[in-house]
Amino acid sequence: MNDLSQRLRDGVPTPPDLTDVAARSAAAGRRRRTQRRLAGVVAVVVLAAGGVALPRMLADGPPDPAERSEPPCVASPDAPLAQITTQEATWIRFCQPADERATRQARFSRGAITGQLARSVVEGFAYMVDSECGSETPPVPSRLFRAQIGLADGSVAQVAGDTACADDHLFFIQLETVLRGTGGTRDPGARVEPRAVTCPDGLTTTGTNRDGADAGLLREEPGSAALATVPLISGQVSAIDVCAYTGQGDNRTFVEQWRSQSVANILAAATTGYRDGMADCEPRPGATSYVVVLQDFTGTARTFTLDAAACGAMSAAIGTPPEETYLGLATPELVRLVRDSRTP
Amino acid sequence: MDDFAEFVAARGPVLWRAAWLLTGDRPLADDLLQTALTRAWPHFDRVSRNGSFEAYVRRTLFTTYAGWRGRRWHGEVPTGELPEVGGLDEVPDPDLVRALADLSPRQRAVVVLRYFEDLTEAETAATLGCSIGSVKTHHSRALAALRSSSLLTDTTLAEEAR
Repeated sequence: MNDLSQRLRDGVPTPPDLTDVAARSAAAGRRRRTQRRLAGVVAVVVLAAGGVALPRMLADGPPDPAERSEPPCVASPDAPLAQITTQEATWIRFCQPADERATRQARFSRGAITGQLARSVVEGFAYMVDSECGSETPPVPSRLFRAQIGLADGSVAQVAGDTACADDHLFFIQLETVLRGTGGTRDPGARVEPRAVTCPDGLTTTGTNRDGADAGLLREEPGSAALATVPLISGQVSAIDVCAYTGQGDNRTFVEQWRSQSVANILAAATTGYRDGMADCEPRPGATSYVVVLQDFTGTARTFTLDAAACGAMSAAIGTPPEETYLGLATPELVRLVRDSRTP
Repeated sequence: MDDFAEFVAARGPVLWRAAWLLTGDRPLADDLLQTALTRAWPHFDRVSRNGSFEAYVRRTLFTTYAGWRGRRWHGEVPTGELPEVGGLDEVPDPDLVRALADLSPRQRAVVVLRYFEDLTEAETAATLGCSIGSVKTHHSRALAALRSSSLLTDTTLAEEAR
């Protein structure tokens, strides 16, 4: 050891108490991991929207939407969730939560994923077995959901989640994204180019909807939340158009219009990006509000609105035929994504 | 206490000392160590099973430091007269801190790894993700700079073969 080594050793002050560093690092690490996984989801959505990734993944999967209605949810799942790490999955789907708090239920796409795609999806969810909802919780409203996973031996495992928990939210977005990506018409001949949108005179969801080949998939089932989630498009989205307004109530002034460059981000945010509640804040007539029109590859268009002048009140055209429905208060994240979607 | 917490309790002080030698500042050393542990945490189980998690954190710490120099610390200018914001009055060897501040980030990293961590040239190269030749170059230039420094006149700076 030479003199420099000794001088370096002697020259370092006493380290601080590191008692809390491990806990802080673990919490920050969880947040970082979740952010990276969400980034991965967005990347998958982008690829799926381009028709690149999912067709490949579906090479041996069931492309026919009719097959997505089976298998059904079971009343009594009989396998512990840990079984998904030791057995191959044969299917996965969302199921209606067995919970009386219906207003907090997440809206989800109907149908199931089966075959190799189901195995691939469930493998990515293995971390759910040990995940805990902790300080990494993202600012996402609480929505309850349930998913069931069919296993190779015929048993069924169940995940009960809350989108306010980071890992649960990631699970929900991933499954919903794949369901939406595999839903809808697979026939390339049924695809139509997205139409130009004429912005309505005011903040309404009723003037910019259109029924294409997949509109029937949006029909509501009585008493069920098994619907395509907000923004209510069952298959792959081909375009999102945004109309911006100032003013409030019936007194709106059209400002500008653009085709969004953030299709995947807005879709993911809109899926869980609203809270229950009514507008109860100071009116902001100078704020910019939005009409957002989503089109799928078959020409089906559905619309939602974000009223920034009234606390971010969010309404959407739901179902087929579309019906204007108040959903709640949009998260600032969703409003920001729509606002900033002019550029990639 | 879980395994990760045990690791931090046992090895955190050693890693913090390296972070302090790199930054010469207590809050920045805290921040650097926390950032490295945060980045390494998701890989704790896998790396611990297959190798040394401490080596993994050390590499993360040094590469994070290099990245910070490019992004976060663009306001820092190496100088022989460090401002008193780092609490140099409490530092056992202020001249050493000032001498290290005169080195480039890579040179400082090589000095800390070779003389404080006692790593070989090959281990230093692996930690920094560069070639052994690059380590030799930084090492040689660092020692030349330290030799010419008036702050370390009483220190032996042998370029030992290791």
